Amino acid sequence: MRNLILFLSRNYYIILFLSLESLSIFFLIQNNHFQRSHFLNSSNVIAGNIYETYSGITDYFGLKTTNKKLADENVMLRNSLRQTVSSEISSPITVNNNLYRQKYIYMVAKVVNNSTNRRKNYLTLNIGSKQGVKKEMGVIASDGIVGIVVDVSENFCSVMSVLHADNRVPVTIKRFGENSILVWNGNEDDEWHAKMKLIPSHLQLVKGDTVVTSSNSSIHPAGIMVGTIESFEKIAGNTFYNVTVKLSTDFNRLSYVNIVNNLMKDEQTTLEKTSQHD
Amino acid sequence: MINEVIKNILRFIFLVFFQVLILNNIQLSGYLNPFLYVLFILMLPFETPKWLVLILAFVLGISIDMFSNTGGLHAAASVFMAFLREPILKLIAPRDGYDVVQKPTIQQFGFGWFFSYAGILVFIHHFFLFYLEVFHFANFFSTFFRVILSSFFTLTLIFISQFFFSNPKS
Repeated sequence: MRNLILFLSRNYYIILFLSLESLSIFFLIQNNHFQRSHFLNSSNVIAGNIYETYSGITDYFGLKTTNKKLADENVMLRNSLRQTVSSEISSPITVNNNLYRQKYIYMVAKVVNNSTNRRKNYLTLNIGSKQGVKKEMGVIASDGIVGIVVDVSENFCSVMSVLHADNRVPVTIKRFGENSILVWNGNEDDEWHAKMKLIPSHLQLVKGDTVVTSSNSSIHPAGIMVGTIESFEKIAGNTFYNVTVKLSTDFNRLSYVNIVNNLMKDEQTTLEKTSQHD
Repeated sequence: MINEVIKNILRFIFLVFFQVLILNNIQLSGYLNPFLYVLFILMLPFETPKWLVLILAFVLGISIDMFSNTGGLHAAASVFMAFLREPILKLIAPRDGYDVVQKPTIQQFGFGWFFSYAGILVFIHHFFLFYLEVFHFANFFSTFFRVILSSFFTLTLIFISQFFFSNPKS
């Protein structure tokens, strides 16, 4: 026992170093899991509040573009109203609510912190569990897809951006309906581009083909804009294309986003789980 | 003594905020990520107990991690750098050693000494940080390029801060 104490007191420095180092690496590995350690991320109270104050100041610089975006979206929404379409049929069509059940609910959130320059980028939004946000909800902006909620505190949530090396978004090419996966690799891609996997080389791709979210995902609604195809090349000896997508979302200028709540998600995932078990 | 402690606490707070609110938003082609916050570890007085240096480095790194959602990445790199501060100081010690009242600044030891002191430690920190971040040695040179460029950028900021914020007489 005395020898042990002697050993510890003689080597306390090395032991302290090794324990601090392993604690850090433990946190780092924890952080890579989807369910991350809860107190060490920017959705906690201290970091969240500081970021919110800071973004309250910096928001003034982006007011002009934000206003323009909102105005654009208003015009788009107004165009899709029923009143703007002149009807050929004299009696108006009534929508039977039993036929159309609401599947998605959208919530508005403000981005209080955002990064685009790392390999694993996250956003922090100013609403949390008090406002009904839960893990694994989708996040979209007016110009395209943004990411997935990975952590929620009372008043904030952090979002794994599409610009995150571990994020896989199910997407499809609108013209073909071919299912694919969007990946982003911080070493090769910048914040405006991402890659698409598993596009078979028999498809006649054209530059500018629209890429949207696919119906495979229970997180994002189908048909949300992702981007357009910027370039593609056949890989020698492979039956797949190497496709580069230009993302439509401007991640540098995100200010207001929508969180998507899929009301039927639980039903879908439980069903899928039970059928996988059998 | 008390004065020195307060000065270091203020420097800690300033550097963490400067890092997370300003420098983390700088982006130049994805290669340059300056991490000026390591200046805190560099500027700790010589008589700081070495266990305290480790713990301060850990707290510093965890604060940065908390704001940038990186788990324990910065903490690991900072602790590693703090661990090597002592050996590096011994390695480049001037002929008559260090005086307790002296501080590791450019004014007291000159450009050459400070350059090798800050240069080696910043490089170690960035090297550890970037390779721990990618976690493999594939694309070795692309990551190495990031290490070199970012270290250079951090060093430039450190030198600028030295000339701006230190009192030449102290």
